[in-house]
Amino acid sequence: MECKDYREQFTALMNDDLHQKQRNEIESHLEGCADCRKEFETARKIWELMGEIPQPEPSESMRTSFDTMLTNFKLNAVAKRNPIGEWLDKLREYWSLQAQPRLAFSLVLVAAGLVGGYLLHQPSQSSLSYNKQIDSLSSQVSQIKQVMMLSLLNDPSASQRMRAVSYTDEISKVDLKVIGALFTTLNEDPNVNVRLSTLDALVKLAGEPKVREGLVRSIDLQESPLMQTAIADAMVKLQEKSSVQSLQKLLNKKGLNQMVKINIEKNIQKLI
Amino acid sequence: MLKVKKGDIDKMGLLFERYHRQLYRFLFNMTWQKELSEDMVQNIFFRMLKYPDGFMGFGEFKTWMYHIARNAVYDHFRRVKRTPAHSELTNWEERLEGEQFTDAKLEKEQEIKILETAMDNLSDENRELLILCRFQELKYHEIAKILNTTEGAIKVRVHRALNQLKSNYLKIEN
Repeated sequence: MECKDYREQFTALMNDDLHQKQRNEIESHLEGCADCRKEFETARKIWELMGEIPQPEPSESMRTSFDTMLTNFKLNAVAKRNPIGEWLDKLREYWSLQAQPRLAFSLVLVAAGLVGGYLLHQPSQSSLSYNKQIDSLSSQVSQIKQVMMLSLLNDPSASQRMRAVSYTDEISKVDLKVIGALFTTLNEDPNVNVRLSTLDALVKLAGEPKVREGLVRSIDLQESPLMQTAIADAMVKLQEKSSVQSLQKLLNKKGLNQMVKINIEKNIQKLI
Repeated sequence: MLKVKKGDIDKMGLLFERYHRQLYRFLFNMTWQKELSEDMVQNIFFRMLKYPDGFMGFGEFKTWMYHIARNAVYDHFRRVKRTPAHSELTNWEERLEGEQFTDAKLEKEQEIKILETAMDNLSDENRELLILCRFQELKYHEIAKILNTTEGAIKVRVHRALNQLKSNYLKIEN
């Protein structure tokens, strides 16, 4: 090794950055080489002088301001870690993990389902008009039935007239014309069965005051014992107290059936 | 630092405790400005908190810290054209004439002042090498890691830097 090579090792020697063996080599060279020794002395003087350059101490406030900065940073970090962000991150992660086409396909299916459902639900407006049509149709039908019933009541066949009476259940709005026709049948129809079913139909309509009045008046006009009993029963059913007078008048009628008489008396008792 | 990276931010306090003095002195020796150095220490630690991904997890924390510190110093030098805090070589003699050093203690102070001026007149790279080697007391292999070079190259460069300092010193002294 030349002197130059040894001199390159000086800093390492001073910095204690050499193996024992290298150090011994340099030290033995220095003993023998005056030039290098002189060079080394100057270097060491500088090196030692460098060690005497005063090194400043950081101020106390540094620690405080660092702690403040750390606290602020932590607060920010917590604020940034908001649940929505984390959720989005998870979603993003999930998206990247999943087989994307599969997920996309299922999303498309859901979208198609939504659109299809919307389209199917759309005819709600036409169904409204459809309902209107049905309403008007059914009111027309009930009008037709009313007309039919009125004409059937005049039919010679008793069974046809009974059918006509039964139509009153199906007519949605029974008007005075129908009620009048029913009373005519009740008081004048030759067939007892027709009159009985007319009585049933009229009892169902007893909510109307006119129907009640008509029924009371009709008590006098009934000749058939069946009808007399039935109408007396109906009066009890309707709790029509104004009928008592008419029923008592019926009791005084000549030739009244004995069974009917007993029945009417019982009914009068119930009404009073 | 790995713990800091995983979110244990409090561990940064430990690292600050361990390294802030060393870092501060490095910055001070590079810039000769106390306040600036303190600010830089703060900034460097903040940057380490904010971008912990820069720490790869291998190698030493110290190496990473010096990487960031060097970037900060050279950024500063680029922004502010470095003006030596101590006077230029030529002005030094004039200044010395006005001051008389009598006893040995003052003589020592004078020597130190000359050395500081000599340091100041080194190139940034040479000064940095000597600071890392002498003041920071880093081993060559550590410096090699910080400067991204080999231990052998550092050995030679430190030797040259010291020679440069020596000649600067002798020039001022005489």
